[in-house]
Amino acid sequence: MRCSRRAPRNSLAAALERDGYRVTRLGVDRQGRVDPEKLRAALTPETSIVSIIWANNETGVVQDVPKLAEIARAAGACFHTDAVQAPGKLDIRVGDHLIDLLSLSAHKFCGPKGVGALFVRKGVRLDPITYGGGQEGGLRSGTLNVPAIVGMGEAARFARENLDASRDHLAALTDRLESGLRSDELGGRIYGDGAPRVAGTTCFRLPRVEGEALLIALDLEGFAVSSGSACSTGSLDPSHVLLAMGYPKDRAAGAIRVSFGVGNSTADVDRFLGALSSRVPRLRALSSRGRRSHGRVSS
Amino acid sequence: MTNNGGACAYRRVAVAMSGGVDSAVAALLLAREGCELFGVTMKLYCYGEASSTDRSCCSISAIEDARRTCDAIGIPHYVMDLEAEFRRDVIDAFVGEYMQGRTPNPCVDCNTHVKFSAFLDRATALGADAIATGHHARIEHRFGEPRLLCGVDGEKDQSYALWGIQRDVLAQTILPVGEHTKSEIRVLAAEAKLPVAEKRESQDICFVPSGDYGAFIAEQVEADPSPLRPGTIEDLDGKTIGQHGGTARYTIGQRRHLGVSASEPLYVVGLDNGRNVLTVGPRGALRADGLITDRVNWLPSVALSGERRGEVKIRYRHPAAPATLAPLAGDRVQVRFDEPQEAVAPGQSAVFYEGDRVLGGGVIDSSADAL
Repeated sequence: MRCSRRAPRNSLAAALERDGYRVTRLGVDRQGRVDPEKLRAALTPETSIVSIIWANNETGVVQDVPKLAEIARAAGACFHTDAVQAPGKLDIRVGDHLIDLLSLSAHKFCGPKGVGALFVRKGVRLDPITYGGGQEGGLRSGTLNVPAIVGMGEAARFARENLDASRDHLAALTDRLESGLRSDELGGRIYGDGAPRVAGTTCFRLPRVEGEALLIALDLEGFAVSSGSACSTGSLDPSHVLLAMGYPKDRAAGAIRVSFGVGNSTADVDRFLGALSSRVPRLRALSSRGRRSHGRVSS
Repeated sequence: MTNNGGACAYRRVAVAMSGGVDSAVAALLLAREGCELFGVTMKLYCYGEASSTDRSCCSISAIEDARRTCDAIGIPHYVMDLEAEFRRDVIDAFVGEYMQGRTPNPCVDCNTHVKFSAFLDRATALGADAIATGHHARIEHRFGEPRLLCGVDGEKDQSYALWGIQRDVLAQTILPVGEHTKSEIRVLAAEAKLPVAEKRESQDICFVPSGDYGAFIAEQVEADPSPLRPGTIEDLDGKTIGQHGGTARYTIGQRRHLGVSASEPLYVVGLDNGRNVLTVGPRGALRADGLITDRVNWLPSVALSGERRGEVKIRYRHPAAPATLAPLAGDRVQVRFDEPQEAVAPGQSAVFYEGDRVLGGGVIDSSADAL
C-alpha cells in the first residue's frame, strides 16, 4: 500500500522488492480511501497477500476492511491489516471478517511500549523470521516478555470494556476541535474530511500558516502535537501519506496532527483553539512578509 | 549600558544555536539572567544524511550538538527550515557575483537576510521580543537607537560581517558573547559542562566545505559559463604571459596558483569577464586611493549628509584604515583612504567604523584612484 505507516524508503514493500517480489501499490483517493474496485482489478492469480492499514495513523481515515478482505480472499489471496490505530476506537471482531492476519501495538491502547500482537487465523501458515527456542508456536523464538504481555492483555481488556465511553469521549473532543478549526477565523482544512475516520485523530492545515512555525508556537504553549513527519534534522518533510492523497508538497508539509487520549478534556480543546486564535494572525503576517530594506545613506 | 547586564529585559528570547560553543554560551548567559529562552537551529542548506563534515556549522551533527546543548541548559530546541531564503539570498547571490567577476562575501548576505532578519520575523511570530546569537560583537542602546560595536576580543571580532543588519533588527538583537574574550567563553562553557565546550571552530563558508569555489559554481550554473572557461593572463601592458582556468577561480590580490613566472611576485589586479582576461601586476599595482560602495546600509538614524571621517575595513582581516566617507547618489558611498590600501576586491564588503562603532557598510563596486 502506498498509504502505509512506514517511510517509503524503510518500507516492507521496498524490502520485498529487494528480495525479488513484485509489489503493486494501490494508492488512495483525495480522501485517503482505497477504492475496492481498484483492489479487485489489481488482483491476479499470482497475488499471495494483500495488506491494508485499517485506520491511518496520520489522518485517522478508515478503510472498508471487511469488504477489501472479502475481495482479496475471493481472489485467493491472504489478507493482512495493520490495525494499530483501531483498539479503543473501532469495534473489531476478527471472527466476523475474512481477515487472515491482523497486527496490533500495545502502546496505542495505553499498554506498555515494545510489545504487540499478531492475530493469525487458523490454517494460515507463516515462516518465522527468528529461529531458536520455538516460542509463540515457532513463529517468534526468544524468551517471552511476560510482564509486557500481561500489561498488553490488561490494556486490551480495559480498551474493550470502555470502548463505548472512550469512543464517545474522543468523538466529542474531535468534533469540538474540528468545528473550531473550520471557523471563519481559522479557516482550517481537515485532511480526509468526508471520509470515515476514527475519533481522536485530526490532521489539518491552516491556510497561509507555515506548519513548522505553528508546530513550534504550539509546543511553546505546551501543546505536544505533531507534523506529518520529521526528517533526520528535526525539520519537516512533507508527509508521504498526504502526498499519496494527491496534495502538493507545500500543503503536505504544512500539516499538523492532533491526537487525543481519554485523559484529554473539552477544556484542553478550548485552550488549544485559544492558542491558535492568539498566534495565527502573527504567523499569517509572517508568510506575507518581504525583505527588509537597508538604512538610507541620505535622508 | 549594554542590554545584557542584570535581569532579563525581555519577555521571551529566541537564541540562534549553530551547535558551536559561542552560541551555546550566548544561551547560557541569557538563561542565567532569567530570560525565557528557546533555542533554534536554522537549517540553511541541504545536507546529505551521510554528511560527515562536522566542522561545518550546518551539518546534522551540528543540529544534534545544538539540541544537546539546549537540553543541558534546560531550554526547548527547534529546527527552522530557512533553506529557501538561504538559496535565494546567499547561494544564488554568491554564484551571481562570481559570474560577474566579483568576490562575494556570503556570510554577510547570510547575516543580513537570513540569520538575523528572517530569524527575527519568525521569532517574533512565535512570541519572542528579541533574538540572540553567538556573534562576537556588541550592541549598545543609546539615545533611542542601537549601536553596533566590535566584540571585546579583537582577534575574534565579527562586526565586519554584521554591517548589513538593518537598524530595526539590531534594536531587537542581543549579542551576549561580544562582551567576552574567546578564552572566557571557553571557560564559561567548560564550567557549565556544556557538551560543546571543547568543540573546534567552524569554517567560514559552510556550503563549500571543500573550499573549491570553482567546482561549486560549476555545479550551480549551466554548462561551461564564460567565467569558468580558460582564458589568457595579461600583464599591465596587455601582453599575454599565461593561461588562467576561469576568472571565477581568482580573486583580486591573489598571488598563488597563477602559473606564471616573473622576476618579481605577481598578483591578480583585475578580472575582465567580458574579454575573459586576468590582469596581473606587481604588488604596487594593487594599491588604490579609495573605492566606491553600493548597497550601503547606514546604521545611525542621522543620515550621512556630508563628508565624515572614519576607518574602513575592506576584508575580514584588514586593519581598519583611516579614511573620509562621502555620500553619493543612490545609496552609494565614496571612501578616500588617507594612505592607499592594497587589494580592493569588488564584491567584498567595505565596513565603516568610528573607533569601536560600526557606522555601516556597503559592497565594494570599484576601486578608485586619484579621488
